[in-house]
Amino acid sequence: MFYFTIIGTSDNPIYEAEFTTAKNTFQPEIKELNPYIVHSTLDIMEYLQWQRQPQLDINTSSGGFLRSRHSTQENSYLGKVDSFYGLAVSGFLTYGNIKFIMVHGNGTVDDTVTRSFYYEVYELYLKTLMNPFYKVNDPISNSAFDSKVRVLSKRLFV
Amino acid sequence: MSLQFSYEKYMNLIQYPEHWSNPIPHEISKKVIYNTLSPCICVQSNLELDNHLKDMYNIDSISMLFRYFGDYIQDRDQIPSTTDLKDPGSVSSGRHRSDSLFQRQASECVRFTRSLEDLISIDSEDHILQSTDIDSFLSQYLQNLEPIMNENGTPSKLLKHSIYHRFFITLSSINLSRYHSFHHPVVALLPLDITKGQGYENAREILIHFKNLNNTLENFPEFININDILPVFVLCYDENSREQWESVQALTKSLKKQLFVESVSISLFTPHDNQKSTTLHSPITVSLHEQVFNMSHPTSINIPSRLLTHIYDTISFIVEEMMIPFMHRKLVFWDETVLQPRKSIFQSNKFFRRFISPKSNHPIAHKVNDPQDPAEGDIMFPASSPEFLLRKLADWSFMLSDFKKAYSIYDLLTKDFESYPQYLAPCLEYKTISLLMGAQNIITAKTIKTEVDPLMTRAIEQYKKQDEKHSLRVIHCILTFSDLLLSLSDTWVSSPLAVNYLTYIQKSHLLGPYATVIILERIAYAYEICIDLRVNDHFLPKPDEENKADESEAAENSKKGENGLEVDDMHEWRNENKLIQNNLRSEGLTRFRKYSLYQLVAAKKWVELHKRNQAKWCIYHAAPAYEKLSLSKRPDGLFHRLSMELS
Repeated sequence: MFYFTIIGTSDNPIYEAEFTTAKNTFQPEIKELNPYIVHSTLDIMEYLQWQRQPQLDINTSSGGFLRSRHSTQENSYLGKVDSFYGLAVSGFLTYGNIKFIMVHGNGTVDDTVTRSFYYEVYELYLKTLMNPFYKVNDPISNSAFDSKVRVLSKRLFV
Repeated sequence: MSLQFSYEKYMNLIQYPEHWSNPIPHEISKKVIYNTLSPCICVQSNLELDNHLKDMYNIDSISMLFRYFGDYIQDRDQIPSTTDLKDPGSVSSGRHRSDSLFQRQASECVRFTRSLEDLISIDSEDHILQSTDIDSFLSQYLQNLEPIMNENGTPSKLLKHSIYHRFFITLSSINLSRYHSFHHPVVALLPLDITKGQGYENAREILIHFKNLNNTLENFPEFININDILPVFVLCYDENSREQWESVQALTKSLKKQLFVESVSISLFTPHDNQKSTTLHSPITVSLHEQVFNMSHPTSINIPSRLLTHIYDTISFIVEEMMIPFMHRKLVFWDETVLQPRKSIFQSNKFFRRFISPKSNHPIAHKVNDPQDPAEGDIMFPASSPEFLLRKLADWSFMLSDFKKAYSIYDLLTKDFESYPQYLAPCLEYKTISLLMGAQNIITAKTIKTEVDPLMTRAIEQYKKQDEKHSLRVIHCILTFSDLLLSLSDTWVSSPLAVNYLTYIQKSHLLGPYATVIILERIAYAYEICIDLRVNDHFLPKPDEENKADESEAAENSKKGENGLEVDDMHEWRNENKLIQNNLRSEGLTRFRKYSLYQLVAAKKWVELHKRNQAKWCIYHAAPAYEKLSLSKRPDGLFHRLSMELS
């Protein structure tokens, strides 16, 4: 079970989706906390945004966002950035300061799978952004976007 | 009404709503911890004197009376500060109370406890707290607080701190422990009632009885040495009687010459008919049992104001002139006889040790045959064994604020206790505490990561190896560590560590629901103060000012628009997608969103426990982070739901 959200530049969620199965669903008390867990993770995301060296112990594998200035490695994917009572939180930062954050109900982050998911969603997001009728920070209500993200999630997670 | 804010007022804040708006005192955690580890003075009972006290002041016993005068002796909390009641002939102290929470000499804190017999008979290592006891106490305490919170609606961070420290001291035990000597009495007060004709013979009998406790009491613990407790006679008399005064003088001399025991006199039974009396506030407690007792037996004790000053002067005299010099003398003796030989090259070197006879006069550790505690391998070091003497040397050095010496001895002892985990765990715990208490201002981020954290982890690991029945000790140990970490200056480094430890407690599910929410609030506090040193107050986002700035800007724009001036230009310059400039310097260097999350979770838990005021205050503190967000306006959202429910 996963809770995925795209956060705009002023901390506003512009897209939210829950990927669950009949067997694996969030408990009601966690479900209502998910948006707030994501919001609290923004503190860590903002910290990593300005880091060149990995500073967080929990994030030793990925490092900060600014790292790419001196290396050829991709930098948008930040890996596991936070945790909250058995839940893991992973993050992805776009060059336009939009944050992709996902709560992993199983408590672990599979970096390969998650990274690939984020990059594919990023591609979808960029396509949405190119739509002349879409303004940055507006909620993404396009059903095609939603269905594509869900297809991605099914292929990658469930 | 006095507006001075003392340690006592902080701990009993529930009774002083006028102080709820005060700022959180600096280093309060250190003071709370120190207070629970200050030297103990036991007050022996005297039936005749106790009856006399009951008749005159309606106080059950002299031991009960002294309990009201514990804490930092120069604070003199019980004396109302607005009146000058100082006895002209009293011993004057050069220090004023106004800075009572600051600049205090830590060594002048004392705790008064029951008689040694009571301590031995009632308390033992087996009387261990249960989390349900703590929770029922907290439930009662918060229930009493609810109506007061209704009357004083303004949310107070200080009160939340005070509640947390109340909870913290409920976990502190005052039981006599075989693993350390913090709760072993240092001084024993032996009271005598001169008005009832008690004299030299009674004093002699009382002293003989006291000194022979180890022979007369069946269950007298081996880890207590009666010779390490300083007996002091307290001669209670009537000041108006010339005869009594003379007999007190004569008795003082004879006690010193013949019994070699010091004595002090208190004019406890002087009638003060026309004089102003003071109602004593409840004593500062250091354990759950005392707190429960105080809540279930609320007593109002009135003491003549002059007598109050007199008692304080006497206690100051006992502490400064008798207890501290006695402790210093003992420390020097143990240093010379136990520590120095231990440090010598002959003892510490295996090669030289071969030439030393293995036989020594010192007792060694042995297994305890306690029917109530059949745990296998339960080892006890007797009071006169070098290991326990060293432990006592370290504990007493700690009590006298010599943290550096205490740390070095604990370090030495960790090697001795390698094969005794029950002794090793508290030794490591206090080694860490003395390090953090002593070197608090010079501890760097590197020290925290390379020394403090591994030491704490090792101590907690050692505690975890022990029985599950001692699980509350682990929690107390972790809370002490986290408190000390949170009082360090570089909170950016220390707070995440404290959060890790506090989260461990949450995950272990050892505490009841009330205690769990209090820990959640503590985690929130740790996140609140987690600010990078590069960020100062000036750069922190201030929601109210931000709003005002936005509003004024909008008003200005609309004015310009009305006048037809450069509205388009303004919009052209403004790029909403750019990073917000007003908090750029602090971005990522604070944890306010985390703080708000934990406040929100705590609010939810308080609602479940029907503590509406507590929940309301948590929502109040969480609101600045959520108010502006669309997230908070969702009808099914947690924040909105709780806000509506509590409004």
